[in-house]
Amino acid sequence: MHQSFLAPADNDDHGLRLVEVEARVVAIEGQVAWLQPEHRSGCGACASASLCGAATLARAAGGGRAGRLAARCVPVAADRLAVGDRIVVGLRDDALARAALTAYALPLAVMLGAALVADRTGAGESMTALAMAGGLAAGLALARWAGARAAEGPRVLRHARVPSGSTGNQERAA
Amino acid sequence: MNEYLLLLLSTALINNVVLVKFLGLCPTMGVSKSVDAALGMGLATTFVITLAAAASWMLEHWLLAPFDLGFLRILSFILVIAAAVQFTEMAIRKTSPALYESLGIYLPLITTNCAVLGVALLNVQQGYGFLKSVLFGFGSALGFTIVLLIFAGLRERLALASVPAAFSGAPAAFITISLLSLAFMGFSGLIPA
Repeated sequence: MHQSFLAPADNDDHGLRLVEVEARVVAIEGQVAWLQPEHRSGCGACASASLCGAATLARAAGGGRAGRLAARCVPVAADRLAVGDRIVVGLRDDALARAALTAYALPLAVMLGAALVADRTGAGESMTALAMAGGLAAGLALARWAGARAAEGPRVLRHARVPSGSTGNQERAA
Repeated sequence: MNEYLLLLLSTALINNVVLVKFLGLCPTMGVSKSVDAALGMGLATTFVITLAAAASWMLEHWLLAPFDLGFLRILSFILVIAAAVQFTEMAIRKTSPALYESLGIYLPLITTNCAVLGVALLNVQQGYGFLKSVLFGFGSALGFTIVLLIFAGLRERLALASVPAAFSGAPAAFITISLLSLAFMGFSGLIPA
């Protein structure tokens, strides 16, 4: 079975739950560190990945791209980090759920709404598909507006614990 | 409209993509230790499956069927799905950089699993029109999200429970999801055959 890529939740300064995940620093540019999550997908990350069709599909979709293309840009105090460090980043759990709802559920709802309205007005299948595409564009614009108002970024909490026997930058304390 | 609601109910609960069709089991077991991650993963997959259902319907009805290219179905669907998931990631990166930053660390924004391809292929078998195909995909993905959320909630509770060492971890998860599967069989009487 796959290990979850989420570590147990901790609390932040205000007593709110934090969702934690381990990531590796792949590059540092000024005060910005590029992080790559340790486990990017539940599927295709297991021992059978080389024989798995889903893993092949994920690679075809771009999941196998290494390095910075797969990394996420998170601004952190770079003097505390070095390339190769394994760190723990945290995000408030309500912020994660809100971000997912804004990014995915909002465009989806507008897209389906537009398609349903087009269908109810008697439009043909081509027009319904066109209305759905228009709804998707409108939904993404709405998500952009809502996301800019509500998004809260993750922050670096600490260096990750290093498995016994390994060496490297990770051993430095935060 | 009633027809659409019944279709959603049927695909989400009665013919659940995870517990009845046994698709998408890998992310169900791997990403269901936290309710928040399960919600995010479920929503991402819902978006991709719905988009893939629409794209695959257009491909099937406007290209493969008219030119008798059915033998290319699986290959072309994989390409379309790959394009759909890439589009999803690009769209979020371009339209909502702040959300992309928040979500990208935690969730696999590129969500591909056998459920995405499976739902697209099942859609062709059903022979639905465009909107019904989209709703079939959406309902299946909704079922996937519901199971992911319930299973994550159960596993969060299970993590606090005293479980015998022989059953802790994977065995307890498999027993839990099999009980969940039995529970979902109760929905089978909702809509008369």
